[in-house]
Amino acid sequence: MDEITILLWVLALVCGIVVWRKHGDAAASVFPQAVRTFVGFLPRLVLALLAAGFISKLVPADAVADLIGKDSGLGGVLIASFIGGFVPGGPIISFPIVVVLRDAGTGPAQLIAFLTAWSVLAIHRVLIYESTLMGWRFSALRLGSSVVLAPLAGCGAMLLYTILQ
Amino acid sequence: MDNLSATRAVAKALRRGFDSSFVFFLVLAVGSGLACWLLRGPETMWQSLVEDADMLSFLLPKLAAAAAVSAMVPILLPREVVARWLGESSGVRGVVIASAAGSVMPGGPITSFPLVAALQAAGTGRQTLIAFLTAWSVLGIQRILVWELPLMGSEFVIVRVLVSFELPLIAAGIALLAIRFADARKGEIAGEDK
Repeated sequence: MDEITILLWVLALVCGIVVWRKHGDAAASVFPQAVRTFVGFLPRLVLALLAAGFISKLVPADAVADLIGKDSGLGGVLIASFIGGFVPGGPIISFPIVVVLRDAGTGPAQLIAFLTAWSVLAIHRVLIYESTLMGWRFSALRLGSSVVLAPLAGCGAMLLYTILQ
Repeated sequence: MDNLSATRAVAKALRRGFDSSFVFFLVLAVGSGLACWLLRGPETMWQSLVEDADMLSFLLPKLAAAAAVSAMVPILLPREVVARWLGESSGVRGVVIASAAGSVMPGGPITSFPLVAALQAAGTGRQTLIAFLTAWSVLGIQRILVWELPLMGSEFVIVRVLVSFELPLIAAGIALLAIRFADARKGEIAGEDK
């Protein structure tokens, strides 16, 4: 077992103890709720991993490296930001894609732009939650204010990686 | 909860897991698997399955812990408490507090959006809500611990956090400028009407 797994379980244990001591009456609901969450995403996780694995074998690595590789610079950051903004779904879907992109030769700064665009723009979240609960005007304002964030993060990362080398 | 209702709850969760997005991914997995078999050969396909099994056994213990933590967070950090943090402060201070609250706020959109909608209804500034949502999505600690750190390594996470922690403030700043600009134009138009 690796350190992060241990860290996460220690965190879960500490939360569990606090819930048990301070909110004893609510403690009974924790286990069934955790099982529901876990069982709920398992089928999609397995399929997303399968699909990502197969696609990584199909994608020509040279093309990826040319387009959004380490040396693709600002152009690569912009392309990665654009693609990331259109990836629907939560981390179950996006992280297998990120791993595939990394193994295919995508540069780290470009990956950061991709992840930032995916998390900030999140088309699925806008359609399902934000526009319905907050209204389109709010979504438009937030999206308009967030368009620059992914390229900004990508450029910042490029700079930082250059300094680190 | 007795055994029967617990079984029912799990069955219900399983059904939820097999919804329409499940069908989409099923088609995608089968299609890409077939393509892999045909274009790259059966050995490559089996190789991919072995790698997937490795990845799954690597992720599952972490995701189980994350599911346990997510189940407890609503009890430890009730929505009302976060709402109070955000509702009581305004201006730059409010934006900074909102960014911090967003990054520690765990859980998916089902937890966060009702909170943000309630705050909007209560009159919290839109730039504050945008800072909260940006921090929640870009700097969420839960996602970093469960997904990013194990899969991408600590150097990647450190660089990404370093270049991202000011993003909620930038988004809030741009939003505020847009709001001011829109208000000023509205004022002008109202002025011309008089």
